[in-house]
Amino acid sequence: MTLPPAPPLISLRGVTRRFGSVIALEDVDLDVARGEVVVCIGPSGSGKSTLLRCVNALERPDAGEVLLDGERVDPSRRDIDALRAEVGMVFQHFNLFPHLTALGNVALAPRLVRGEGDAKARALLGRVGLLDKADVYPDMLSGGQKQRVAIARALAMEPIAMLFDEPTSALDPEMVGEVLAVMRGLARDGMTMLVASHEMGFAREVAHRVAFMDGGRIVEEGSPGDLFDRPQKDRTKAFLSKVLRA
Amino acid sequence: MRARELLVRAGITVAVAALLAIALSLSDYPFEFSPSWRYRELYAKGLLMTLGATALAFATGLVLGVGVALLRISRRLPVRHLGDLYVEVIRGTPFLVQITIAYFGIAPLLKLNDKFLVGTFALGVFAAAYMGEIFRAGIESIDRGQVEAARSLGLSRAQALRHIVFPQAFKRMIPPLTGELIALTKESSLLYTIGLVEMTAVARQVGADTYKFLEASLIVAAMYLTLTVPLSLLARQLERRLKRSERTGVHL
Repeated sequence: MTLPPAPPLISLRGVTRRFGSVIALEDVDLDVARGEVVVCIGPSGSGKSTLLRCVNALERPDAGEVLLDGERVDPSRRDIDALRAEVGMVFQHFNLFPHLTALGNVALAPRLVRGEGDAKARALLGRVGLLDKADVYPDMLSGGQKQRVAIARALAMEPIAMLFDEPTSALDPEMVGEVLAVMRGLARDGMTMLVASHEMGFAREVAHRVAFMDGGRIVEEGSPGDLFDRPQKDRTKAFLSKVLRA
Repeated sequence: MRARELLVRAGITVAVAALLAIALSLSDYPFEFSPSWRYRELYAKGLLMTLGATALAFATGLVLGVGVALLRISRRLPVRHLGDLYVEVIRGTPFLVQITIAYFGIAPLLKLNDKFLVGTFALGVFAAAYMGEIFRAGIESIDRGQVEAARSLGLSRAQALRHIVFPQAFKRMIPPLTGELIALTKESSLLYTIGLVEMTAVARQVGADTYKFLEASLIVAAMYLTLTVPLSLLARQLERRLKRSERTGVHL
């Protein structure tokens, strides 16, 4: 007798999202297991960001549902704020709060929502290697430092899963590495991660599973080895041949 | 560079003032400022009244203006429309008409007969329509990503507004709010129509008593300028500092 498989931590069921006549997501099913790292790749406008934003209720699906640890994610829920706090989100453009220091950015939500002190926020800044920047405002930080502060901020609410929306796309090339290093560390520590990214090297190295998206659909998904080396669909092959040629 | 600019501005100002003075002195008009001097205490009273009415109206406008802005950014259409209605009606009619309606129509209805209270409150209601727009524009100028980041951390909509949007928006509102304060200083002159003795009323009274309307008006004009020009300079200074900090600051 085998144990039934553990229920997925994040589960999208037939999720569809339209913006006017544009279909951003069409009937998407995706499961992310506890401790799993799933990287979504695909051209711009393929729906990667919208998919992530549905998990955090920043977008409301027009059809289908998103489950987080068995709970339905719905912006109209009374406890949506608590549910959102369960999921950390890292944005392409960092979205740091410019009027707060690095420490203030990280400590704000734990202080407001849970009445906690700054000790944990300091520890998190240490974890991303920026304890010495605690009292510095975002405009004095480099892009890579900003994104590391943003990751620490997202971790401050002790989320059960992390969403990364193209976290290195707005960075100068020499700063991509430091951010990916932090993400790699998180994955190693067993954090459940759903990542939209153009970093194929990172996807190959860190992801347990890679999903290729195009036109609002998941065209193909599988292990990095399968998807990168033995893609089945023509669309996937065409995309990979373009991005991997470099 | 900065010192040179100051020198040029001061020079041009003095030259224009001198030309005006010469032009006036060449006319046949027999200038007499001495009668006005006898009314100096009245001028001082008028100054205090203008300052008091402007300050109270500005404070009223700030409070009401925040309310108007919150109505106008509501997600609920009926609430939003209430805010729109307020702004359209107040901005679409002259203050002179509003103060008349307030004083002869609304005040008796509410059994209010304190001219100062009725006048300054009406001015505050008037200012709130403009300030509400300043607040709304300030709030809406903050990147949507700021609210999304706050909400994704579990902050409520109200917490996101209070701790993330307002502190950033307020900085951008300071220059236009200073402009509004300048406008109110001048607008308060219309309170003379309900018998409030502020600076403009003093000028008219002194003119009527001495037949020296021109001198009295020149005097209050100078008084208004001593109030408004420093405010204007302050606004410019704030704006300059703001530009500097927003240039180095990444737009998030």
